[in-house]
Amino acid sequence: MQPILSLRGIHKHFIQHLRGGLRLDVLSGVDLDLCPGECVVLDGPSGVGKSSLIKAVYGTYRVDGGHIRVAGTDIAVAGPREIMALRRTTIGHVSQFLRVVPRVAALDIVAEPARARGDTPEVARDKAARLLRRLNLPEKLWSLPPATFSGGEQQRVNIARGFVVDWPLLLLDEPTASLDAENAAVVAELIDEAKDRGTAILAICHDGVLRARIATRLLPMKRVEQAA
Amino acid sequence: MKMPPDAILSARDLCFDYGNGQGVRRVSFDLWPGDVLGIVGESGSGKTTLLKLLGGLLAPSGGSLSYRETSGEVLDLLALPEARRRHLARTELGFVHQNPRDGLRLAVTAGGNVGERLMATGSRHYGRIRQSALDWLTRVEIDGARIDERPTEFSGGMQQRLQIARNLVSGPRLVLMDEPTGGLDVSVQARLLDLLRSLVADLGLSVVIVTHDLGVARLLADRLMVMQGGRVIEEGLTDQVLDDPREPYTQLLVSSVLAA
Repeated sequence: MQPILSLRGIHKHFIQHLRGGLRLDVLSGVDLDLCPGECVVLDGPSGVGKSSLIKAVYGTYRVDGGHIRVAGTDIAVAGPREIMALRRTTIGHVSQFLRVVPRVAALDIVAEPARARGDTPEVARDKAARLLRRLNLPEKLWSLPPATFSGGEQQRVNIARGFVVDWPLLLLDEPTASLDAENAAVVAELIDEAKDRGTAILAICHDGVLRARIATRLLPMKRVEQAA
Repeated sequence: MKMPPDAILSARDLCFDYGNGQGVRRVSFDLWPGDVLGIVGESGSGKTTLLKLLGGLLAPSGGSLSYRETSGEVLDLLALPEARRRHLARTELGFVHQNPRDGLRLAVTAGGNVGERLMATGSRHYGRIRQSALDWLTRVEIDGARIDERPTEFSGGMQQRLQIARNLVSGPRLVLMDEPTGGLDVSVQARLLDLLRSLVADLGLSVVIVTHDLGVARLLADRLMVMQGGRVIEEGLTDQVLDDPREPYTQLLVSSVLAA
């Protein structure tokens, strides 16, 4: 099968100019092919660059070497407009924390990616409502901006936003970190259903039970030797 | 000059010199329909000067500036006859000043301020102009009952929303904004930001927005250009520039705010 995501020799370092030009190497020679329906979980302790790799695939971190091919585009060299188009059509991302927008209702935050991909407002809100219901977010919260929600409530809004579109490629960074067992089980179901539809998933997941359930394989990562 | 076939605005090597070493030095970029470009940097970095060059409020000392009309025709904005340029400025372009008093006519009622651009584009039917003005006041969350008041009786936040209505009533395609939330209280800022965000998305506007507030940039802009000493020193997607800043000056900017 043709991979939807192909990583070859990814290198990334940060130069911290405010700390005397300190160089931090975070990714070195990462390779991966990810096919539709697969879920690869990044494996390794904190600090080995798992979140950095997710951010590089999403185009947030600009890499210093290698190729990140998604649906015919190399994100490592793509311009902002190409990356924006991929984020609208191809790559979904559930980050660890919801970035709230003042005054926008939870339901509309969830519906937004579906609208951006061409759904009518009604269809998008309907999809959003079904997800929020599945994730047990009380209906009285739907019309409120999530700024005042608890961590777990915000995370469920964030997850619903990530699953409102059938993305070809979905990036998950600790999707269940602040959820109880019941809601974590719902997330596991959502992930299973997405895989069945052919979504390729790249995930960070420290919860051993969830990881055993969702991972089709692991990508071992280890800390990069720092250049002297 | 070369303009990408789908761009709405293209600047190449724009320069302006105040004669004291400050100004704008060889700035180039392209802007597309629906594109929101943020320009960030400190006071004196040249960002407002650049915006004034784009809006025709200052004439550049060098470079070129092209604009593609709805018809597809490409206009050289720097060589446009004055009458044509002014017509464009009242129809397809908007300019939102930091201080609403610079963008409003203070002696004219709120309704008059909004209706003026419609009259400038040939509307003559008083009832319809008033109705459009009323619709736009409502859209920017100003009570329609205040249509006959002068802007001097409005709060700062209301004045800014009135200025935005005045700019958007003619259905512009390109809107230039200079620190639109600059002088406002934080709570008023949040409301205005949300309003701007939804208007820009609903109308599919192309926007160049100057701000020193990285939180505002994060919320509104798709892409950022960072200016220092009149030059663009770094550019990219908003999250690339703010989460993975490369230049020393950008790292300083990003690390100087609490949470953007």
